[in-house]
Amino acid sequence: MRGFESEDPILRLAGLGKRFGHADVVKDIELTIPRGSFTAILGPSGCGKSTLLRMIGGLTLPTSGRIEIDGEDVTYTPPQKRPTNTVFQSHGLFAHMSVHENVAFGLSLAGRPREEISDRVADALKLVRLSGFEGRTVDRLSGGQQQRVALARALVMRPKILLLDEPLSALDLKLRQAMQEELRAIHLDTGGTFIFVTHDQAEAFALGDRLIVMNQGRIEQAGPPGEVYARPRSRFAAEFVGDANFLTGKRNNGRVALDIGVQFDLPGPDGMLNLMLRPEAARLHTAGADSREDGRISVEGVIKEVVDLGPFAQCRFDLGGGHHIEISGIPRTMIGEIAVGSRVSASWPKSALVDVTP
Amino acid sequence: MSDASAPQRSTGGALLAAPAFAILAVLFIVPMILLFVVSFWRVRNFALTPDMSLDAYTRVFVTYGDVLVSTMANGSVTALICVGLGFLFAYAARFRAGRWGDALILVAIITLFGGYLVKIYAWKAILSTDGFLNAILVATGVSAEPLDTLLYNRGAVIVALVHFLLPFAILPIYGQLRSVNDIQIEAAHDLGASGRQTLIRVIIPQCRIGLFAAFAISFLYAAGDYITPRFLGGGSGTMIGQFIAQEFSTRFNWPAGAAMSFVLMAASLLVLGLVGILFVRRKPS
Repeated sequence: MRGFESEDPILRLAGLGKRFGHADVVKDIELTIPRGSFTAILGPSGCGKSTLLRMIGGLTLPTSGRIEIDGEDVTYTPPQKRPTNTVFQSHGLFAHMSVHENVAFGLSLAGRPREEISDRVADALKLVRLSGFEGRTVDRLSGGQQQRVALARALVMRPKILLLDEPLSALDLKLRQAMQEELRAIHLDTGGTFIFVTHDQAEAFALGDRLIVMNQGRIEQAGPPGEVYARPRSRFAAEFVGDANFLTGKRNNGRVALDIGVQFDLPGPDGMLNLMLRPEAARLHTAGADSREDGRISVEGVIKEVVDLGPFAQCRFDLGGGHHIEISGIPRTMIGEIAVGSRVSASWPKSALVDVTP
Repeated sequence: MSDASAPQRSTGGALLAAPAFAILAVLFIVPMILLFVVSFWRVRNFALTPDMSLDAYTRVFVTYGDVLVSTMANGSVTALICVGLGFLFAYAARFRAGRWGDALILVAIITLFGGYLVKIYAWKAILSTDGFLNAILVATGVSAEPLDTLLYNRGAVIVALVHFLLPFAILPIYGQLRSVNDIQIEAAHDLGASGRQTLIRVIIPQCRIGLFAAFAISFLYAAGDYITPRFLGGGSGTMIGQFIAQEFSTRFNWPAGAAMSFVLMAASLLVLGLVGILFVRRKPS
């Protein structure tokens, strides 16, 4: 799998792999990360995303491949000598130190002068909105505040790359969203390079300007989040970044025949075919509205189940013969018209179908 | 929720603590008070006579002053060695032994089954003139003749006490090392700390209470012991516990024994207090 091409990469991974015993946790990663980007690494638990992050930070040594930061080979450089800092999932704050001492820890080890340390600690705490908390002991802070101290402790080092290992996953939803907003602001403020690991698709999209989907130790797909969502390259990527319908069929001489009984032209090699359709890309047509616009694929079916989600509704649409698709993003105004059991038509543009045939 | 159940919990807590408290009160506090009263009495014609005399305390300092100092020194050295070795062992079990850590601690505890007198006799066998160590020294040519200086001195007492007390020192240190989580150690490395800096600035500060507990347990036991010095101590290894036992038994001088006990206790608390300030005090940053 290819990563991003970038003219000014801060990080380059080449053939990076990690084997624990007989298990390849991370396999043959090729990736470059541009300077100043905010990359989200998304994947299910056990996909190797944390191991990948730990290898970048030097906390886990790779068993194969190479890591370059800013053109320098750091594959076997210990963490204390790398220009990276990590924010851990369970923060790892030093329980016996105050907020100030925690944030100052790295700088005082580096032997910075006292005035510089206190200035930079104050700046970092201001950045995470914890000014005035210097003297507190960390166990008297809330979960969100602790995570912000951990963030300040890493940011104060001005790392070339800030690594964040699911730092928000222990927080409740409201706090998590507020912290996401702060993280975005801090990224803009500092102009640093952030790499963020998460299993939460919404969080990856909310934060990252680059998205890397990982599965079973490999990069499944990498690109801007919108592109990964709209043009997933595999069934896994399609399902992991959102809801998806899959339509199977066959192609013969550029003519596609889907199992749901629709035919249309779509160039490509002959053989079995698996096409992905996002639920919100399909539109319902009630009361005989014309659905046969150019370039749209139209199907007839029966409404099976309607779920009112508030701003929108979604429904299960039975196409007969055991086939059905989910349709979402149905506007409120239509909810009255789509009674369960009614026979209507639905359509979607041909361009909304994405080939995810393995 | 915790507020609502708090009163209940405190009555429950008092009930749970009651049996232990009763045992301590009957078997410790009451005898202590009696002993304290007796320490001001006198002995006349082998009979205890109530009095308000400080004779017994004078006797302690005049006759046993140097033994008291030597006892404190032996206790402190024993405790420091226990804390040092105990920390190394606990550290290895926690950070170097992986999943065998708990097994190592279990092994340390199992050595307690060896019993106390058994260990004393074992050291006697090892250190005596025809003992194990001398056999090795002679066989390897390190020494031409068996040394008779290995046994019956301060060193022999301390070695045997350390052997016996080490598991008691390991436990509290290990308990505290377990509460230092691995993420903190990774975070320290990530922020630029070497292994040594992590040890000094992150790990040790977080187990100061455990280190102090280890010191206190080893010290109190060692300073109060009278069996080990009696069997292994000889001249330089005598400790005040032996003389307290003598005052109570063969000399039938209960006031003197009681006064010595209280002086020993006060001196021990003084040492612990000083060490406690060093160990537990928060370092100014």
